Amino acid sequence: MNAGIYLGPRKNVWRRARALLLAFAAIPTLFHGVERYVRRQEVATLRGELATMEEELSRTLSSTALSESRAVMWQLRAISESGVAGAIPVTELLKLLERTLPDGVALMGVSIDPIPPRASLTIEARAARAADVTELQKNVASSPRVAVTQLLEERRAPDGLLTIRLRVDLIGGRP
Amino acid sequence: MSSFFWPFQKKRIGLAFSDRLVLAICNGGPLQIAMRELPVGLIAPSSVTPNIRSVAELAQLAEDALGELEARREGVVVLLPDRSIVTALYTSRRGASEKELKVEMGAKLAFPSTEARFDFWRGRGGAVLGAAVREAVAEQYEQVVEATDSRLGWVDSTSLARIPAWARPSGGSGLDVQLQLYENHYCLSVFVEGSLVDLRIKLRPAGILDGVQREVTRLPALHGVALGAITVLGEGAAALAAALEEIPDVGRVHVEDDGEERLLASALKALLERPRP
Repeated sequence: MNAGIYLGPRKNVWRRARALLLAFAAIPTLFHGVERYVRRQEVATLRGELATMEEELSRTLSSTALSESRAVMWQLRAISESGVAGAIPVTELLKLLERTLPDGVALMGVSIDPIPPRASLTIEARAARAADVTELQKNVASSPRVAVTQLLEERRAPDGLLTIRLRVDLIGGRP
Repeated sequence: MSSFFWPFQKKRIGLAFSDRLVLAICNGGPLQIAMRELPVGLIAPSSVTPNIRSVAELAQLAEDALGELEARREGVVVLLPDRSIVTALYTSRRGASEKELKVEMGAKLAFPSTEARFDFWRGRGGAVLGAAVREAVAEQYEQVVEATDSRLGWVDSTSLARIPAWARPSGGSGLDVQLQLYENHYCLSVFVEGSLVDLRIKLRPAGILDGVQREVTRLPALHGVALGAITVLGEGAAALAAALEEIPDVGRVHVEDDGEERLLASALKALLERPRP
């Protein structure tokens, strides 16, 4: 038994069913589209951030690090020529540093402590990534002239680069 | 079921049209009624020709009435004038399909049945009440409702709105007669143990009750059942009730809702309180 007489506009059942089907079909497509848009936005943002970081890094490394590295090499040469570290063959020291410095690590300074019983080096360097620091430590430790390595300091500078100080004890007391 | 989880009644609006007035009510709290008298000829109820002389003018009057009510204009129930629709009562048509009833009723319409909206209400004892309205006629009223920024809900005819509620066994014996009196017409509905057995919508000259009284007097002979309770509602209800009480062997005579306005308001209220299908 129906509720009473209804003389209003007829509801078109087929049209309503079709609208419902279309809505069901459209909802996943809509969600997929929104999800894709959000992901693309994220990728675009990340890409932008990465480009900025790369630009900053290359500017920092190219403008300061290379000139500093060059200065350190001059210091090393000066030290070796002055005879302070006369016991260390200069070529060997240069080879050690050259071999152990991975790409992305800029040498900032080297200090030599030739006092017995064990001569040591303290390397100051800057790197963009923590993985480069680890690489540096591994390289140094694998040298036959190195007894012990010790990371004295690791901090991130305001420009985003890591600054480290690494102490390297050499084998053979007076090298 | 919704009232079980949410016991607060939502305010709803109803709008009734007659040739004399447009009446709006709002339930869901204290009943609010707003009404506007219509200029003569603004609504000329007819099942065949367009009823409304100026949709814009009627919409403005309806808007004025609705403006007095505080409720959202969603699911507005609308009562069309009785004379704008065609009704038919089929007794003992328990098994008849809607399609069969449409064909049968459509053949008697004064306009092409393809232009009609039909609906059928199935009562007790196999009685089927049919109603039809011409699309062009109904659309005019719908345009008025839409022009007031209202969303249309249930659409019914003024006198048919309460028939489902009346079609319940009253417990009394004899014919249960409901008389709805309007200024220019009346609707007589007769029930036997909750089953609708007679329905007549007829014109009457304003204020003259003799014809109605004669119609009621003939009912026992027509149906072979004595008169039981008689309820008289609407315009001149008290006067007709006094005249009916003079009929020998008449049962109880009740008077409700004296005046056409109250009759329309009661019909709207019944429609608003009806559970939604």
